[in-house]
Amino acid sequence: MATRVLMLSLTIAPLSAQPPSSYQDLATELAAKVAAALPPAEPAILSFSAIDSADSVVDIVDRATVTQANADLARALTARGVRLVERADGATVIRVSCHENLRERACVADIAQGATHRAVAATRPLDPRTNGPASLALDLQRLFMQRAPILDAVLAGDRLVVLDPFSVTRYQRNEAGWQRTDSQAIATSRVWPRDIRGKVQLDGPRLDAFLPGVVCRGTSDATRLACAPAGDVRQPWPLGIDNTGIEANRNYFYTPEGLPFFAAAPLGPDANARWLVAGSSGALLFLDDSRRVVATIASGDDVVALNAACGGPVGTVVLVASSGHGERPDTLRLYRAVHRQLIPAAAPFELSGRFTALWAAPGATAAIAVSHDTAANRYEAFQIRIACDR
Amino acid sequence: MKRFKFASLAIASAVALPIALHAARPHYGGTLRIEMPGVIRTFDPAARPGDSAESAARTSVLPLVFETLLVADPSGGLRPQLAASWEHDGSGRRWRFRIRDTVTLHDGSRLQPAQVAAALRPRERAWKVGVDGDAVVIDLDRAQPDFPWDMADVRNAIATRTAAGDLVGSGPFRLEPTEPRRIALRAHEDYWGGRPFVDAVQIAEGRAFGDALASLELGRADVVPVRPTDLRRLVQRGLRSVRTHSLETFALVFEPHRATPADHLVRHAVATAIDRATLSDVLLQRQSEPAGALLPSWLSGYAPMFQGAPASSSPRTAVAALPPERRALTLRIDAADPLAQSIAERIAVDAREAGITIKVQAPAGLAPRPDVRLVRLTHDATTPDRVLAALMSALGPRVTSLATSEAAPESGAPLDTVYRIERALLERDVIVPVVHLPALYGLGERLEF
Repeated sequence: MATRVLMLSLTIAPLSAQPPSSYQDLATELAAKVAAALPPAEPAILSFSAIDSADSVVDIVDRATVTQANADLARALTARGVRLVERADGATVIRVSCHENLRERACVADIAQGATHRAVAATRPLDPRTNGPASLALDLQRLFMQRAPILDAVLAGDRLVVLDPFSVTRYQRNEAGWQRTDSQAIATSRVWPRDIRGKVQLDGPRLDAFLPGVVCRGTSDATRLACAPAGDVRQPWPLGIDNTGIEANRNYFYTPEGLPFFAAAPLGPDANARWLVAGSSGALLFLDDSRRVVATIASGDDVVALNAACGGPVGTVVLVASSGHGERPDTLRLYRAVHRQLIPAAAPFELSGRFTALWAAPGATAAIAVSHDTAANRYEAFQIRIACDR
Repeated sequence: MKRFKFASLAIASAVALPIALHAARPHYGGTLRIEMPGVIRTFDPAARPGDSAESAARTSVLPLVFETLLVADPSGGLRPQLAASWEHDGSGRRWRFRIRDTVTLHDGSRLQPAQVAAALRPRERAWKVGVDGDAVVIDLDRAQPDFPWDMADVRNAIATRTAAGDLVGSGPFRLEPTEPRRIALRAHEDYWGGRPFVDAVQIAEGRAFGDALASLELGRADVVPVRPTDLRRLVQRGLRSVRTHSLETFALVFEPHRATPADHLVRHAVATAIDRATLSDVLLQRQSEPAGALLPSWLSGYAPMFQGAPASSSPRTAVAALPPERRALTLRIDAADPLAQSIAERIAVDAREAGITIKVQAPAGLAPRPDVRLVRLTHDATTPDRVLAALMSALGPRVTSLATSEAAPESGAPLDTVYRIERALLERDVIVPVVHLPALYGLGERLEF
């Protein structure tokens, strides 16, 4: 099988040139400072400063970002008990501007009560070495393609293990590409759900394959594979979050607390949440240490966390897969998870086919994505890594 | 037109170019010829410039010869330069800069951390500078989380001294002896960042804008600073130009006798009457920004807050009710600054619409006391706190105390503090920002950007 490397330099360009810089992470902090500066129940008018002439001011937030930041701030202020009004005599006027200078990204609020002005600001340093986000790029490497649905694939040096609904197949890389070495059938009488999901895991000499209601165990270099029903107590899957396994005839998991979800990504401390999960409703949910929903944002069908060793702090980076619902291409988006917000970290990447699976590789150093090219009627597995651009 | 954030970048980019047109690969060799109005009196990075022209010249030329530990990244943040890395102790009071071990000075010797420490030690009394192995350690008298920005200031560039007292740098070019009002730079063969393409840079100082432009047109110069009003002429000659972001601000500054509360109505009427957009678009050929604040947006980040503020225009009837002598102002400009003359005349036209008579005064010698001055303020720092502090220092305590009782921000002051001080500084309309100006450069035919 020919292997072709696609280098997609979805570069996170310097802030002045990248797609809309997000100020979502500053809105929460700014709202807290504004709320603290206002008397309780004081009506306030919120206005956002925007600049029309991008020629006169470079590095400016675009209008869509301003609109988004305005909405984020209004929501955060309301959540803190600030009574926002459209207009009212004697109301406090909060004027906000979010921009960059050379040192930082900043949102400044001027709180005017009559002739008295008070200013508060939320800032994040831009220092690319010590504080700022490192420049990243996504590397997509096409690993493998076949007509049968690919549920998961694991790359281990020159070996590749591919899980499909019917078998676990091992391949060895040689000059011609991937050479099949053996294949073991998944022996089960279970009827698979229509959207079957599966995950294969290599742990030293051990191989585990997880399928809805079935767990197969074997060794990575042997030919035996024993599959058994998961039993009455559902078998947890290795997802990086406690779970009770997949519903046997469904495509989602449950947390021990009963929250249904499609996928989960463990987060770092800067995210101010423990996990980001793709909920069964299509929303992305931030969960705290107790797996309680602490924030709901955006939408996505699958999510994994990725590690990037870029010499500087990158923070928690998550890869989110979203369906285009047949109207648009399915997309992969890279985000930084900061303060329960997702900050775009690269331009969206459009898949050529329909996305069907996204799993994190061991150690979260890579992810495996699978897409289905309906025109060619084949499934393709990609390995996705984060590369440092500087 | 290509845009640079810093004047030093525009010049540095020019000198980084090979003098070879349309070559498939860059060629080494050639001499880059620059003419500029400023005269650099001393190359000591720590010296204060005598005027705005010298300040602009120093900002452009000194980084070619002397380097700082860090350098501001035009995309934001800092980049390592002589320091390969830096860190602090967690409190922000002790900073450690590991000095690059591959830096060869212009005298052929290797840069030592002790030399860096010796160069930095006299710069600030509050710094206790020592050496620890390959690092320079600086202890501060207070926590300063953004202290590395001080290490990116050209005033803190590293210049070592020979026994004879001569300054020695590490930059891509070394100083050569030459005649007065000329600067000769020679490529530093062992520059740690790679030998420059050009062999030499010759800079003619003290050249009037018109003379420098003529040199460019005649092919005697490769890079010259130009005024916005010269751009049309450049285009007609088929020459190109580059510009920086705004590095200067024109502002009106009222004299004490017209800075009283009783004159606030007049000052406010002038401030709101100035049609800054037309000034920028027409007179300054779209090569400037209307200034609602002293700091341009790329330096402060918050300037739109000033631009967006609802202007409470003074009723013309209220101004008309004032005695004629209170509605008349004498505006002083620098007689040697034709651009200031043009701007002042435009302001006078706008003020007349508001019922105020402005007489522009450009004295060559003694002249009657003015009511207001048009001043050029240079931005030669990179963070909002430092820029505003430098502006307040340039304006002087006599002016700033008329505007506000606020002191200048300390280095590292948070952005809301800087914003608050700038708002207070402008509140009484004693200081009225007019327009932000970039540095513009005309390029000769030998250069290709």
